[in-house]
Parts: sequence; structure tokens; C-alpha cells
Amino acid sequence: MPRFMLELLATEAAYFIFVFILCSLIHLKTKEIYELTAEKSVRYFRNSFLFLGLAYFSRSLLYLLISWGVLFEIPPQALLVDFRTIAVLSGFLLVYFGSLSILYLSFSLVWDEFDLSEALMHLLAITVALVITFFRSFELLVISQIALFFLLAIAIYSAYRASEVRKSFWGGIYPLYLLLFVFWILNVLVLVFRTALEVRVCLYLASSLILAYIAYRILKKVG
Amino acid sequence: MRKRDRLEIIHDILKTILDHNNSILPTRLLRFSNLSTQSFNEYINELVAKGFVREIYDRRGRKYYSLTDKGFRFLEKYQKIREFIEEFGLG
Repeated sequence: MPRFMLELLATEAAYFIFVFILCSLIHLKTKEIYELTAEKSVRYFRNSFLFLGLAYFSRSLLYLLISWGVLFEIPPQALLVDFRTIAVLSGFLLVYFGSLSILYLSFSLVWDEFDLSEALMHLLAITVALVITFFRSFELLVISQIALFFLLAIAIYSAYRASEVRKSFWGGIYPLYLLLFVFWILNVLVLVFRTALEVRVCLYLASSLILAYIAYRILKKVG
Repeated sequence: MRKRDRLEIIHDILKTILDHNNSILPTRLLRFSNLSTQSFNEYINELVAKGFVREIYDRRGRKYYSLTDKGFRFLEKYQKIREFIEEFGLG
């Protein structure tokens, strides 16, 4: 296995693990606020980051398995793992968890005006994931994620218009939510389009920085 | 006058109990809460069920409401909770 492949796999694994840790940290650190308030919006917000972390984790699982085989020079057949099945499964979970993450964040912002039950959110995300897995259509995957992104943008617009404390839009948290999921879509795109390692590293750094900044703001608030 | 949201109402109820030496009669609490009897009952039942408030009885069998540790913690963290909800657009 060429050296650059090892570097690529190591970068992927490190990135996904970093994102997963940050998402888990956000979920855990907001637990007390949810326990004290039992607010639906806080529950949705926490779930959004939980599922975002799981979406990245499902992908990292695949990369870690491959890396393990490569690092120890074990042929994939010897790992007793059907890589194609894992790839399909992780792809399904990636779409399912990713879609859920966007849905939960969208409805955390507008739940008091328009609420979709959690069962329906899961049903919608499973349907999207099943359709994409069945048709193996990358175009459908991108279209679905962009459609969900627009749903988030509408939710943000609605929440901003309804907020009592009117602050500058660009100084608040909303642009960060948008950026988080713009980079999510870019992360989905690079899974299919072969890109140079340097480009991927830049994308991963930017995505990690946005998530780390959101996590920092949350941790600063909740203590 | 601005309508209070759910969290503000819970805060006001808990704060009223605290301000009365952590022991208050239901009728007094209802008066201070500025809620209808039906709304008050819904809120206080939820607070008791979720462990923010406990019911205690004196020797004459009169019921009082008192804060639990969770109730104290809510009051202690209320400002942070509000800031968190506002900052992340969850209100």
C-alpha cells in the first residue's frame, strides 16, 4: 500500500474521531440543562449534535477498519469482514444520521411554531437513507442533503424573525449553523469525488474549526 | 405586559417558594404565581412529578410546598440556562 494511502486513511480517521468527540462533548455537557428544563428545543439541539457525531462515526468505522488492515499488512479478505457490506451500511447510516441531525437542528429552532414529531423525523430520515441506498444514487444523496439544508435555512430565517432579542444576524449563532451544514455537504461530496489530500485536509480543518468554535461557545455557556 | 414563557413561570414559582423560607401554602403560592388555578395546578404537578418541588405536611395536616435540591439547582443555574437558550436560538 503506497505511503500516501496510509496518510489519507490516518487523516480521515483522525478527523472523524475528532468530530465525533466534539459532538459527544456537546451532547454530554448540555445534559444538565436538559434535565433542569425538559425543554423540547434543548432536547432537539442535543440530538442534532448526537446524530451528527454518529454520522461521522459510521464513516470513521469504515476508515478505521481499512487502516487497521493496511497498517498491519493484512489483506481485506483475512479480516473476515465484507467491506462492501460495511460500505453500504456505513453509507446508509451516514445519510440517516446526517439527515436526522439537520432535521433536529431545524426543529429545535421552530418547535414552538411548527413541530414535527420525533417519530416522523426518524421516518423521513430512514426513507431518505433507504431510497439512496436502494438506488445507489449520489445525485439523490446530494439533492436530499441540499433540500434539508434549505429547510434549516428557512427554520433559521423564521427563528431570527421571531426572536425577541434582535441581534445582528452575522454576529449570532445562525451563520455558524449554516456553515456547519455547508461543510457537512462538502464532506459528503468529497466521499465520491476524488480530491487531493491537501484539499481534503483544508476542508477537514475548516469543518473542525467551525464545530470546535460552536463547541467552545456551548462549553463556555454551560460551564 | 409581555407574556411569560414556560421557563420564566417555573422560575417565578420556585423563586416564590424560596423567598418564603422554602415553605409555602398552596393558596399563597397560587396568588403569587399570577396564574389561573388550572395553569397553576398543571405547573405545580409537573414540578412535583419532576422532583423540583416536594409536598410536606405540618402536624395539622396542612400541605406546604418546598424546594428540592433539583429546585435549588434550577434557580442557581437559571441565568445560565436563559443565556444558553437565547444564544443558541432555542427560545
